[in-house]
Amino acid sequence: MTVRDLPALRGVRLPTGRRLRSLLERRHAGAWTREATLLTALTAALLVLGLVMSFSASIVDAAENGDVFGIFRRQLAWALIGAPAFLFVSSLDHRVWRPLSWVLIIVSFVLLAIVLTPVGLTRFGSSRWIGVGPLVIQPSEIAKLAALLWLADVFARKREKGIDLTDLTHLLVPAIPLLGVFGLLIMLEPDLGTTIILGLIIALVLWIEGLPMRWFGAGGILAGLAVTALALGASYRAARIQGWLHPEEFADSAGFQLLQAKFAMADGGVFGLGLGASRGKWNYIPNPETDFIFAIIGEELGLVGAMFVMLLFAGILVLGLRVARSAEDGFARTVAFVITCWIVGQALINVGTVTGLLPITGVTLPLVSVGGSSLVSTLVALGIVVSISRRQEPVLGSAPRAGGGRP
Amino acid sequence: MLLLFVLLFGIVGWRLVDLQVVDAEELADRGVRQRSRTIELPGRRGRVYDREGDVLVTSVDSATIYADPRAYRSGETPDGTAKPPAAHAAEVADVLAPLVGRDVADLRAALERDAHFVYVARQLDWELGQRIMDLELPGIGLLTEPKRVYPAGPLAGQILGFTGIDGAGLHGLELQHDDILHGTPGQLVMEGAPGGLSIASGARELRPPVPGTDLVLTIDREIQSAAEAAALRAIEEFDAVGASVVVLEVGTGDVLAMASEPGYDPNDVSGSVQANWRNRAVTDVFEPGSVQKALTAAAAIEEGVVSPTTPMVVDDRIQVGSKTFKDSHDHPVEHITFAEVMETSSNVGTIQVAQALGKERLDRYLRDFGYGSRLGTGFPGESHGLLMPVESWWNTSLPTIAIGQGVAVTLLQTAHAYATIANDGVATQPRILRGTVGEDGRLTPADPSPTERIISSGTSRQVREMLARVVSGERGTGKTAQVPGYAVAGKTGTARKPSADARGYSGEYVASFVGFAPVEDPKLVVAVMVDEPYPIWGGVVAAPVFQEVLEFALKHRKVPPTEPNASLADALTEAALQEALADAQLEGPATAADEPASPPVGAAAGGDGAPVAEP
Repeated sequence: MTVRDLPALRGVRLPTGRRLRSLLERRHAGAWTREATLLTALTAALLVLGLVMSFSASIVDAAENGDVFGIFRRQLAWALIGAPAFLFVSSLDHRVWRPLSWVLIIVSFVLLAIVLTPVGLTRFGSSRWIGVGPLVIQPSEIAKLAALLWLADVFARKREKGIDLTDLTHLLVPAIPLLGVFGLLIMLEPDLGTTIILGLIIALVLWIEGLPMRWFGAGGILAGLAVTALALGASYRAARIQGWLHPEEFADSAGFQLLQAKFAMADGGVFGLGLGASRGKWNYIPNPETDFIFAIIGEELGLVGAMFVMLLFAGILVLGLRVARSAEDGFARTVAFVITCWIVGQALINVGTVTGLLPITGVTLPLVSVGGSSLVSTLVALGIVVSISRRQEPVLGSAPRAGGGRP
Repeated sequence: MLLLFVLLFGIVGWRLVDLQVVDAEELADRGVRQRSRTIELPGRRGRVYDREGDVLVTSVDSATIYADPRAYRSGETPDGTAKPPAAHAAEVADVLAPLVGRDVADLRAALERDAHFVYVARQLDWELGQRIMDLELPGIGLLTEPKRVYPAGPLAGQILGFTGIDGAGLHGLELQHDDILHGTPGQLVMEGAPGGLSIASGARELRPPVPGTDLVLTIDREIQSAAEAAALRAIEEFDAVGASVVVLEVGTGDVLAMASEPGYDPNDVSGSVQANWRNRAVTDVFEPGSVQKALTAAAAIEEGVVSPTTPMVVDDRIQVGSKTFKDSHDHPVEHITFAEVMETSSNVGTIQVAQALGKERLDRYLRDFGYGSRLGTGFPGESHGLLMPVESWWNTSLPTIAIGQGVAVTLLQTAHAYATIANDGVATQPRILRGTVGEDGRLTPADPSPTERIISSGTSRQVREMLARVVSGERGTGKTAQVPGYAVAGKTGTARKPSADARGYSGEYVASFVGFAPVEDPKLVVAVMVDEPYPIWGGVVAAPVFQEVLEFALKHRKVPPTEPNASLADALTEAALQEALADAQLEGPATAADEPASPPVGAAAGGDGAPVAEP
C-alpha cells in the first residue's frame, strides 16, 4: 500500500514541483485578515530577533570551530527555507492538512525510527538528528506537528461520523497509543524535553476536544510519576534536578549552566550590556545559541529585551486563541488552539528553565533558538494558524460543532 | 486556558524582574568575580653598567615552555561526554626531551603528573621556544619570562653576583641592591573566559609595571678585564691557587677594578664552583706581611717617633720576650736610615720603631687606616678583617703585628690604607656604586664617599717617598713594579699563611704588592695578592702583576707620565726584572715563632662568609 492509496488522500495530489501553483489556485485560503497581518508581523519580529541573537550568541562557539559565521549562516539558510514555507502555508486552505497529516504521521514515524539506527547523528550523548547532505534535521520536531494535525483530523472525522466524543474510548484512542509510540521512540533517543512537549500537545488536543478535567488530574499525576521515574532512572537527569534545586552546591557540575545563565541575566540588568557584549557566551554558558539563547538576550538586551520577547509570545497567544475561537470548523479550531498553546507554552518552558523555574530539559525557544527543523516546523505551524485566520466559507459537513469542546 | 497563560506569564515576568533587577547586583558581582583575570606584568629588573656605560647585566625575554598534563588524560566535556586524550605523554616527551635537554623518562613523568601546569623547561632561548611552539604539540604552551644575562660573561662575576631563576638577587651586587634593581610588577585585570580566552568586549584595567633602577658602577670594564687577565696569568705562571687585584681611584674611593681569579660565569651558575662565587678581595682575609710596614711607618712618623732620615742601628735579629725575630737574610749590624729599613724591608728595623711607638698607638693607627672593621661598601659578605683588641695583645703581638703577621685584612682594606697615604693622609671610603639611572634616563650620582684625615699631609708625603724608594731605590725589593714613564711607589709582602686548623702557620705563603702612581700626585692604587705561589716572593710574583695592571690603568685613565723618556725606562725595567730575581732573597717572609705571639688568623677569620644561596 502506498501513501496515495490511503483513503484520506483520494482526490488530493501531493504538492510536488510545479503542481504547487495549481494547488494554491484550487486550495487557496480566504481573504487576508487583521489577525493574519498581526500574526505574520509577530512571527517576523521573532524570526529577525532570533537571527540577530543567534549570530551574537553563536559567535564564540562558531569562531572556535574556525568560522565566526558558521552557525549563523546555517540558521539563515533554514530561515530562508522557513519564511517562504510560512507564506506558502498561510495562503493554503487549512483543510489540505487533513489528508496531509496522514502522510506526515507516517513520515514522522519512519524518520523517528531511522534516528535510532546507526544513520542517526549522535551529539551530546543523544541521537536526535538525521543528516541529509549539508542539512541536519530533527524528526521529533516534525513529529510534534504531525501528531497534532493527525489527531485533530481523526477527531474531526469522528465528529463528522457522529461518534459521541463524550465516550472516553473514542477520546483516548488513538491519542494515547500515539503518545505511547512516539513518546517511546523519542525517549529512546533520549530526549525527555521533546517527549514532555509531545505529551503536552496531545493533552491540549484532548482538552480542546472535551476530555473531562478529572482525567487531566489523573493524567497529570501519571505523567508526573513517569517523569519522576525517568528522572531517577538516568543519573544525568537526577543530577539536573539537583542542579536545578541547588545550583550553588553544584556550581561546577549540574548547576553550572543555570548559575551562569543567572549571572548573565543579572549582568544584563534593566537595559542590557548591549548587543554583542555578552560575557556569558564566552564559554561560560553551555549551548548559548540553542537552549539558553534567552539568557544571552537577557544579558545583551536586558530586562527590556527579555520582556519584549515575552510580549511577542503573549501577542501570538492572544491572536492565536482569537483565531481558534472564530475558526469555522472543528479541525481548524483544534489546530489553531493547540499550535498556539504549544508554541507559547514551549517558550514559557524554555524561559522557565533558563531562569531556574524549571529543571533543564533541553527545550528550545521557538523561532529564536538555533535549530533548523524546529525553526521550519514552527514557521509552518504558525503559517497554518495564519491560514486558519483567513476565514473560509463554511463548507458542508464541517460546521463548528455546537456545544461540546472548549472555546 | 487564557487565565492559566496569564498566570504563567506573570510568574516568568516576576522571575525576570527578580533576576535582572532585585538580585541583579549580587549575581552580577559573582559573574564579574569569576571572569576577572589578573595577569602579573613583571617589572623589568634594572640593568648594571660600568662607569663608561657599558652593559654588564641586563634582562632579555626568554621562552619558558610549560605543559598542561590534562591534555594527556582522557577527560569529560561539560556535557558529560568522554573526551579522548589529545596526545600521549610518552610521544610528546620523546619529541621535547632532546630539544630542551631533559631526560625522556623524567619529562614523561612530569607530563603525567596530576596537575594543570608543569614546567617543561625554563628560560630557553627565544628562538628555541618559537621552534618548539611551531611543532604545535598538544598541551604545550609558552610563557615569556625575563632572563638575567651577563653579556661580559665571567667579567666581574663576583662583583655582579647573580639572581635566582625568578629574578631575585642571590649574590653580589644583585643581592646588595636587590631593593632598587627589582621592578614593581604591574597588573592587567581583564575578563577571561574558560579555555584561556579573553573576552574581547570585556573591561580591562592596567596598572603598568615600574621598571627597576639601573646601576652605574665605579668599575671600569677595561681595567677590570686587564686585572682579571693579569691575575689569571699569575696563577698559571706561579702555580698559585688564587690571585686578587684591586684598583682604586685616589681621592674618590672609586673601585675601578676588583678581580679574584679563579672566577665563574654568572650566566652558568649551576656549572660553576661555589667557592669561586665569593668576591674574595672583600670577603676573604690574608695576613698582609711586609705590606703592613708602610702603615707602621706612617704611624711612627706621624707621632714623631721617627723620620725617614733617622739613623738606625739594625742587627739581623732581635729578641722580644721568648721570641727571636729575624730579617730575611743574615747580615752584619748595619747603620742605615729608617728609609733604608723600609727599602730593604727589614723586620728588625721595623720592630725597633714599633717598640718605640708602643702598642696602643700602633693599634689606634691601624684601626684609623681601616683595619678591624668593615669599610662600609655594604658588599654582601664583606669581612671586617681581624685585629685583636689591644688589651688582648700578647707581649709579642706588637712586633708581630708591626710586620704584618697575626693580623688579617681584606685586599680592599689594604688598598684603602694605601689610598689614604696616596691621598695626602685623607681616607676616602671605597665605593662600587657610582650612581643610579631611574626611569627618566638620567644619572643620579651616588653621594660622595665620606672622608676623614688619618695622618698629616707631610707624613703621607714622607711615606710616599719611602715607598717610592722601594720601587726605584738601589736596594729596593719592588723594582719589578716599575712602570715606564711613571714614578711608582709600593711595597712588597710575603707572608706565611696560617694553617687550616688555625694553630700555627702552614708552609704556604701569600705574595702581595700594594702601591700607587704617580708618586708626586697619586691617581691610582693597585693592590695585588697571589695565594700560594711558587716562588713565594712578593717582588717576583705580585709586583709584575701590579706593574701590568697599573701600566694599563694609568694609560687607560690617561694619567700624564711623569718621565717623558719612556724607552729608557723600558730598558731600566727589563734590567730591574733580572736583578729582582737575583735579589729575591733580600726580602723575605716575616719570621713567625713556633708559638706565634698573636694567634694566627686562620680560616675562622675568613670574614663573615658571603651569604650563599644555591642556585
